Amino acid sequence: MPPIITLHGLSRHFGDKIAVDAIDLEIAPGTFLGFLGPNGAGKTTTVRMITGLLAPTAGDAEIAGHSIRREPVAVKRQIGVVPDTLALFDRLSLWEHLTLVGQVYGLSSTETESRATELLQLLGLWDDRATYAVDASHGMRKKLALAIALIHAPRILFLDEPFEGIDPIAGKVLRDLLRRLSQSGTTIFLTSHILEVVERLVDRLTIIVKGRIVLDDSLATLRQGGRSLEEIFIGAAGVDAAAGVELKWLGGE
Amino acid sequence: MIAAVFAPYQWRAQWRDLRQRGAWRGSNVATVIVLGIVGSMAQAGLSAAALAAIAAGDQATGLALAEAGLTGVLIAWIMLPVLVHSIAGGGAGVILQRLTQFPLSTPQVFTVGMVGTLIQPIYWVLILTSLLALAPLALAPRAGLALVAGLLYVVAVAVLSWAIGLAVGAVMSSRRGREIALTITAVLVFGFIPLLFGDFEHDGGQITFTLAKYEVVLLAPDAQSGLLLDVGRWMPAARIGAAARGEGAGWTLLALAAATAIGLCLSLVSLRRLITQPAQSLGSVRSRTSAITGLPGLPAVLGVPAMKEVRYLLRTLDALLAFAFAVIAAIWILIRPDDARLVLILCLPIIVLNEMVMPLNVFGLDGKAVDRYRLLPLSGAQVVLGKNIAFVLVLLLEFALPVLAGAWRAGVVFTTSALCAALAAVCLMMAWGNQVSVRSPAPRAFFNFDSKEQAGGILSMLGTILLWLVPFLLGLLARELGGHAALLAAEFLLLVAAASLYAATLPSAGRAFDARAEEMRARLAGQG
Repeated sequence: MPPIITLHGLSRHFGDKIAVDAIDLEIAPGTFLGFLGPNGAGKTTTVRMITGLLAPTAGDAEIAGHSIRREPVAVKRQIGVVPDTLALFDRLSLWEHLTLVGQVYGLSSTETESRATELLQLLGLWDDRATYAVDASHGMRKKLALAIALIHAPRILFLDEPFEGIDPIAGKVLRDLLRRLSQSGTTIFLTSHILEVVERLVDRLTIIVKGRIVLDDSLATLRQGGRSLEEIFIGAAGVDAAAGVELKWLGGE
Repeated sequence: MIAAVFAPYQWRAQWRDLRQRGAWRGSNVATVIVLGIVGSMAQAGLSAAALAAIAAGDQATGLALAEAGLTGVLIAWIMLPVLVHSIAGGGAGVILQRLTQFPLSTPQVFTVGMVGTLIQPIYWVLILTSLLALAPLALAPRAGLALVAGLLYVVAVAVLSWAIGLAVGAVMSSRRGREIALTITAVLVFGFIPLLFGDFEHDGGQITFTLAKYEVVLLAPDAQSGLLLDVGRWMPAARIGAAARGEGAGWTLLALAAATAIGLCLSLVSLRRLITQPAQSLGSVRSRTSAITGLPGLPAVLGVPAMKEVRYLLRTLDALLAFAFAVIAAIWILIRPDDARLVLILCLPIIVLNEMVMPLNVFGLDGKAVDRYRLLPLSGAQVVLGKNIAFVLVLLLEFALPVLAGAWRAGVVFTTSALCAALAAVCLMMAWGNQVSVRSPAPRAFFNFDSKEQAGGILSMLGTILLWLVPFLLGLLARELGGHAALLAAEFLLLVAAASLYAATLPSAGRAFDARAEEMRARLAGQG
């Protein structure tokens, strides 16, 4: 089966700084990929390039057979995204966000409202549907961004740190939902720092460090020998140089 | 002192900000500074004339000129925060709301904001101008007292100008405050309606206003020559002149000290509210829970984002003010048919220019959410076109009442001509505004009449205002040459030409939107 996501030498430079350095990656349909890396490794930059939020300096990404450089609109029809910034309109209500996005993806108003109702009820947002995004809590905003990403039933889902800042109940709802989506064949590209969650969800792991992919394999293979995901991650990413520093002045009298 | 800790960082942030913002906003800052230097030179001339008059023994003229200069200082201190960052507007790299994470009292936050404002070069020009305005007082009979009063006057004016800016911001950030402010505005505006029933008469140099049996002389010929000199006498600056002559100096100093204290108190109360209370939103719960639907005849990729934008625009104060103005203009046209044509051709540009920031900065209200458009399956041209459709729809709603009233009172042909002329100007504004919006967007606030950070800067705004001369002059020429039929034909052809120009420039704006994702996001997040 041909890959549904292919990255060819994808690079991004910010002035002299190389954020992503010519990465190549192929992801089969239905994969639940955990894309991990330390802070500043290039995770968010990669997701932003693949989803059309940031132009690559070099290389290309093919999503479901469409190039993000040449056919960005065709790519966006196939994907749902929870970006790092969430990209919510401050003065639109939760309900208005979903009805706007659903119809832009070509759903009828009836279908959009039906899906919006179900999503808001599933994510525990129904009672707050009249709240403006700017007045919503961080967790509510995260859940709204997820609902927006799902409303058009995308084939591929990109989630940039979706578990940050949400409560345990919402976390469980989100985990169950993602597991169900994965089982139904949706390809999921997840970045997260919460290794326990990643460990429970993904079937393939890619680790990026300083803009380069340093590890890419199935989770089952990586865990042979009984290593935890934390050990795998630290082994691939390297120990922080500052780990030995003691702050003796902290916590004293 | 806490302000001294922040000042070096504010100083660096200011220069980095100016360097990074590039030519567009650089020109904005440069324009204000050039205007300030011109004003400062004019003040120097006025002060030199005042000094010469006092030295020549004409104390009355000298002090009158000094008072006029001090009145100019008052106006400059009031106007400047409108043109550049106000004390609460995040000038010089510090957003005051972010200081609440530190253990700082409100007076300390105010001091940091004040220092951040005063280190901007334009304020140096203003301070220099203020000192120049005080110079003639050095030759006054009671020079020492006059200089102290003059300095206190400048301090009071500066503090009160900040206090007013902060108080307006605080009032506008609460829904109840906005309702009260709008009610007061409406009462004041409608209070002028009786003027519409009266008659202004010009007779020689004299202007009189008659309402029922009462007659008021507004301007007599013999007053004209002294008008400029006497401007200052109506303002607080007159008290400084009096103090310089030794009249009521104690009361003047007391009043200025009291004004400064009141300004400080008002500033602190308003600032506390601004930094601790989030702005409350416009828009009823009913409107928030109704689905956004598209427009008949338009594909969803255009109609649905356009209707989103319509809701956004209608939730701004600018739109509310435009609707209030449209209602007043329509009433005026209906009750004063003789003025109908004049009111109609004036009210349409005023409604549009009141909302000038909408076409000049179409992504300003979106902020970082501009990314959402890039995640949706829309091309850049579709995004920009949706924004423009929304603006035109809002304008047509606002135009409806005055145009209907105009069609009745000023005639269908004239009204159609005026509407064509206005829409032609709007097309030109949008053609220009789209380019500015994608190349130099700036974040906008919903709840104040935020003229500080318009995309494209002051030159762009001035150009947009002057642009209205095109349909106006064309209309005058056409009417002189061929009457109302020629007027209609000319304005219609202008509309076709302007719409063609708009259509021709839309693709380039769309391409620029697609290509400038990162820069736009950074600017709209306030980081660019």
